[in-house]
Amino acid sequence: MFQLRTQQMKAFFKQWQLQSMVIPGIVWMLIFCYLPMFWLIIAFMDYSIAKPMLESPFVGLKHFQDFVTDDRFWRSIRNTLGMSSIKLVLGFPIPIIFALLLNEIRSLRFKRTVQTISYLPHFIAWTIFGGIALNWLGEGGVVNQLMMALGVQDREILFNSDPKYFWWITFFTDTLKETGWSAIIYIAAISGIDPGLYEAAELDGAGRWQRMWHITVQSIRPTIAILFILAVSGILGSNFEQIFMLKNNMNMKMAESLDLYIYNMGLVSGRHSFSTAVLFARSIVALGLLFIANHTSKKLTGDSIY
Amino acid sequence: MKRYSLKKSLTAVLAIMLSLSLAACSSNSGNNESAPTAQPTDSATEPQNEATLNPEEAAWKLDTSPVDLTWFVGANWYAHTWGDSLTSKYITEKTGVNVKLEVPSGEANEHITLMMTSGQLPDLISMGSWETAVKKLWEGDHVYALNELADQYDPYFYKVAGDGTLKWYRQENGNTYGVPNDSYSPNLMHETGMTAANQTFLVRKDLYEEMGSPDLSTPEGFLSALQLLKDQYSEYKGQPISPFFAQGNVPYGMTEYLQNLLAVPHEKDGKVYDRVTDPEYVTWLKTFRTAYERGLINVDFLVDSDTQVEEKTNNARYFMMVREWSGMTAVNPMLAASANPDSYYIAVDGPQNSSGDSAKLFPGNMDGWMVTMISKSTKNPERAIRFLTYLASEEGQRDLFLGKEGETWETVDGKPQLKADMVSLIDSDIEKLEKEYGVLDTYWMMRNPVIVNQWRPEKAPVIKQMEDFANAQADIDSGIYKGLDPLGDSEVAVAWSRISQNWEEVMPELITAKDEAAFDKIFASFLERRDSYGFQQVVEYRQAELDARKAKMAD
Amino acid sequence: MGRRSTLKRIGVFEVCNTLLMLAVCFLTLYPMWFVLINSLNAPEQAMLGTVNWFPKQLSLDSYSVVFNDKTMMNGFVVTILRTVIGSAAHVLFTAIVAYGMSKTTLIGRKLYMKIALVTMLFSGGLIPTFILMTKLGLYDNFWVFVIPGMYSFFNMVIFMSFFRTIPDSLEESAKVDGASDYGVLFRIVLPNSMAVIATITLFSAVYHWNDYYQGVIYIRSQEILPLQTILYKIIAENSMSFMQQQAMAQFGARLPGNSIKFASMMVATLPILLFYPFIQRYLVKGVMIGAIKG
Repeated sequence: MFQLRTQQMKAFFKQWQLQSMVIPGIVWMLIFCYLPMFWLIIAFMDYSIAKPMLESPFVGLKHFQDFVTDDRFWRSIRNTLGMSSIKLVLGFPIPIIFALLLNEIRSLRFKRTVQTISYLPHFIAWTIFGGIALNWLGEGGVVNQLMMALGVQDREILFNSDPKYFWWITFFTDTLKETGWSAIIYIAAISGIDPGLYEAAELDGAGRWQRMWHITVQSIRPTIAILFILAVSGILGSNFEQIFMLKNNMNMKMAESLDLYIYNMGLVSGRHSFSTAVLFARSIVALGLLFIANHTSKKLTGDSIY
Repeated sequence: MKRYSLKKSLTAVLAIMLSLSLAACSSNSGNNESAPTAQPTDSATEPQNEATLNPEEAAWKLDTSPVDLTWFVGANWYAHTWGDSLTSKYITEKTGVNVKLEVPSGEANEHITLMMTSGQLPDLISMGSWETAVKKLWEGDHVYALNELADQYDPYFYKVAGDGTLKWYRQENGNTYGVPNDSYSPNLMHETGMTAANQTFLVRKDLYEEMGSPDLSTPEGFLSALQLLKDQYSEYKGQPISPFFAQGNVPYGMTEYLQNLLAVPHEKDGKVYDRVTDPEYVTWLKTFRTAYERGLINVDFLVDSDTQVEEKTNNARYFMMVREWSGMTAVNPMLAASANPDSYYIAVDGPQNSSGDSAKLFPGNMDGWMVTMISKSTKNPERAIRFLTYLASEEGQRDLFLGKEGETWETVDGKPQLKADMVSLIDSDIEKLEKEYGVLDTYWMMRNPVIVNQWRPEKAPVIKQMEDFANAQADIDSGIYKGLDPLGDSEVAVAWSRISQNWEEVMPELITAKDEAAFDKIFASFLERRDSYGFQQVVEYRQAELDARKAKMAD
Repeated sequence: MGRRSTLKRIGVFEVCNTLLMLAVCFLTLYPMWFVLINSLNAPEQAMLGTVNWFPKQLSLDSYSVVFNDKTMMNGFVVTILRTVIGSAAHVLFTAIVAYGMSKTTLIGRKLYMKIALVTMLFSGGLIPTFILMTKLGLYDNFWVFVIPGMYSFFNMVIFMSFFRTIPDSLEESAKVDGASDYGVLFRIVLPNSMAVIATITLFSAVYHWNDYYQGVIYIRSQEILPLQTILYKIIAENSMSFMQQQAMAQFGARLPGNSIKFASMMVATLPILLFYPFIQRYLVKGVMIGAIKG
C-alpha cells in the first residue's frame, strides 16, 4: 500500500511538466468556480444582505417548500419547457435542412457567399438584435407592414404585447439569428463525406432525394444524435439575454422562464435565499438530465460526452 | 523553419502578456487591500479638533487640504462629471474636496446590494429613498450615523440639516443615516404654497381645442372624446395620433396617478384605505377596457419603450397623457417653437370621480428624492461630514446652484441672481450650461428646494401653466401616505412584492378583457390571489407604518 | 460527363433552392441593413421613427456624433484591448490545460475531469462571484475582463479532442529529439492546431466583443467601461426602473436620438463582422472536430 503510494508519487513527479500544465487550470476552477459554490448553502438559510452570511439562521428546506408552492414558479417551468420544446421540435431540424440544401448548390462561390452571410446575425449582440426585433414587431414595423400588405390583418397588431405570440417570437428571432451558425457543424460534417459514395449511388440510379437521405443524412447521423442529446439535456435552460430584451409587462406571463424567475426573485426582489434554492434545485435536475443524456449517447453511438 | 520561429516569438509575446497581466493584477489588488487597513478615526488629531469645534460655525474651513472623495450617484443616466465645470472647480478649490462621481451601469439598487455583500463601498452614496438597498445600508451598519459624525467633527451640521428632516429619517436606535434632497415638509408647503406636485393630466392644446375642448372628466365624456378622435382625428396635421399615454404604465400612471386624479382617499376612518378596490377607480378601469374593446385605444401605452414614448412625445403624437409635468419641461418649449406652435401640452381636468371632485395630487414629501449617506468604507469620515454640512448650508447650496459670484451670478437688489447670459443658455444650450458651468440642477444630490427655489429663474409660460395647475390640485397633507408599503426581504415585504408584481400583469389583462364579465372575473381572481399571497399582513404593516409616521410628524 | 450532368440537372429544384438561399441571404442581411439605413437617416428624420427600407434623408451626422464622443471612443479602445488580451489569454491558458488533459497517462486525470464537470452544472450565482472578484481586487479593474474568462471547460474539451487527432508519431519523434512536454506542445502540437485555435479564438473574441454584463457589474470607472456596456446603457432602458426614468426625464438627461443609437450599434458590430472572414476558413474544420469528437 505504502509502496504503491510512493510509486504513484514518483510517477506523478516524473510527469511534472504535464501536471504543471493541468494544475493551474484546476486551481483556477477551485478559485473561480468552487469557492462561489459554498454560497449555495444560503439556500438552506434565511440570508439577509445586511448581515454576514454566517450569522444567518438555518431554516432547512423552507425555501424549497416555498417555491414548489409558488404558482409563478410552475408558470416559469411551463414557459421554459414550452419555449425549449418549440426550439427542439421545430428549431432543431432547421440548420440541418439548411445545410442539406446549401450542399446542393453547385456554384462553389455562391455556396460560400450564402454561408458567410448566413452567419452574420450570430455576431450581433442580443442587446442590439433584440432592439431591432422589437422595432420590427411594433407599430409601423416591417412585420405589420408585410401582414397588412398581404391582407392577413387590417389593423396594426403590437405583436410583442400579446402573450400568445411570445414563444413564437423567441423562436423566430432565435432561428433568424442562429441558423447559419448552427449549420456550420453539419456543413463541416457533410464536407467530410467521401464523394465516392455519391458517385456510386448515382451509378445505381439513386435520385437526388434518395442520395440526400441515404448518404448525406445517414453519414452525419452521429453528429445529429450528439447535438440532439445536448439539446435535450439543456431543456431547462433558456436564452436569458434574448428573453430579457423581449419581455415586458404584458407578455410576462408567457415570457418568464426559469432563469428569469431566478433573476427576478433574487437581485430584483432581494429574496436571495429563495432564488438560490431554486438555482440549487435547477442544478440538481440539470445534473440528472446530463447523466441520462450521456447514458443514452453511450448506448446509441458508443461515444460519450465525458 | 520560418513558421517555427514565428510561433516562438508569438509564444514569447503571449507569455509576456500573461505575466504582465498577473503582475498588474497583483499590484492592483495590493492597492485595494491597503485601502481598508487605513483606519478612519485618527485619534491623534481628535482632541485638537474638539477644541476648535464651534456649533455656530461651519467646520469645513478648519481643513481645506486636498482630499479625494468618491461619490456614488444611484442613477445610471447621470452623466455629469466633477472637475470640468466651473462650479465644481470652484468648490474643490474652496473646500479642498475633490469629488469623483461614480455612476452604475445597470440598476443602482442591484449595484449597491452587490457592493454591500463585498463590504467595499464608495465614500459618499446617494440613492433613491425608495430603494430597498437604502434600508439595508442602514440596518447592516454599512454607513455612519450622521449625528454621531456631526457630534464628533462638525456640530454645525445640526444647524443646516434642519431638525425636521433629521427627525423624519431617524431610526429606532435614535440615529439618522441619510440626508434627503428635494424634501418637502407639509408645514413649509402650507406656508409658501409651493409644492412638488407633479402628476398632471395633459392634452395636446391645438387638437384639444379643435375638438371643442371635450369633457374628459366623466367616463361618458372620455369615451365620446376618444370616439371623436378616432373618427375624425386619427391623423392630425399629417401625423398619426396615439390617443393615450400613462407614464410608468401599470404601477404609477395607471394606478397611483389615476387614483390621485380620481381623488381616491388614502385613509378612511383612521384605517389605511385599499385604493385598488375603490369603486370609482374600478369604474375608470372599466372605462379603459371599453375604450380598448371599441378600438379607441391600443395597448401601446403599456409596452412602449422610453424611446418610443419620447419619439411620440417629441412629435406631439399623443392626444392625452397622465404624466409628470416636470418631464415635459424640455419638450413643451420645443413644441411651442415648432411649425405647429400650438401643439404643446396643457394641463386640464382629467378623469374625475362621480362626484366631480378635483384631483388630489401627491405634493412631494419629507422622504424627498435621493438620500445621501457616508459609508464606513471611507477613510475620511471627518472631511465627508464637513463637506456634506457645507453642501447643505445656504452657502453651499448657493455655490452649487449658482456657481461663482461675478462669473455666473451677481447680486441684484441684495439678492443673488443668475447672470443674463446664463439664463439665456437655459433655453438655447442647457447642455453647455451644465457641462461648462455646472450651475442650476447639474449637481442635485443635496439640493434643498426651500433654499434654491428663491434663486431659480422664472419658467416659460408653457411650463408654468402645467406647474400652476398641479400646484392648485396638490393635496398637501397627503405626502405622509407615500411609500407605506413594506420593502426588503422580510416576509411581509415578499408578500407585497408578489402582489404588486402580479398587479402589473393583471392590469393589462383587465384592460384587454373581452367583456365586463371577464373583467370582473379577472379582478376577483386577482383579489383572491392577493389574499393568498398574504395581503392581510401588508394591510397591517401599512397601518403600523402610518401610525408611526403620524407620531413622528406630531413630535 | 460531369459537366453534362450538371447542365442536365438545372431544373425546378435548382431554381427553387437558389431562390430559397437568396431568401436566407436577404433575411440574414436585413438586420444589418436595418441598422445601417437607420444610422444614416438624418437625425431630424429619425426623430419621426425608424425606417424600414431606405433612409429618408442621407446624413453622416450621427457618425460624427459617435466618433466625437469621448466616452464612446474610449469604450471602443477598452473593448479592443479586452478582446485581444482576453482571447489570447483564454486560448493560451485553455490550450495548455487541454494538452495536459489530453494525455491518458496523466495521473489524476479522472479526478480532474470530474472536478471540471461539476463546474458545468453548479455555480454559486452572481453574489458570491462578485464577492470573490472584490476580494481578489478585480472589482473596477480591467483584468476582471481577462482572468475570470481565461478558462472554459467546453473549449477545453474541444482542444482535447483536436489534440488527440494529431498523430502520435509527430510527438514521439520530437520527444526522441529530446523535446520536453512544453516543447512538444509549442513546437509541434499548437502549430498543427491552427484550425481549432482559430475557432476558439473566434468564440472567445465574439464573447469578449459582445459582452456587456461584466462591465455593468464590475466596472464603475468611466475609463475602463467597454463599448458594449455603454451601448447597453443607451439601448436597454428596459433595465431602468420607473423612478429612475422619471428622474431622468426631469433632470435634463436626454436620450440620444434614434439615428445616434443605430450609428453606435453599427460601430459596435462592424469590427467583429470584419474580423471573422479572416478566421472563417479555419472555422469549419475547427468546429467539426470539436463538435464530433466532443
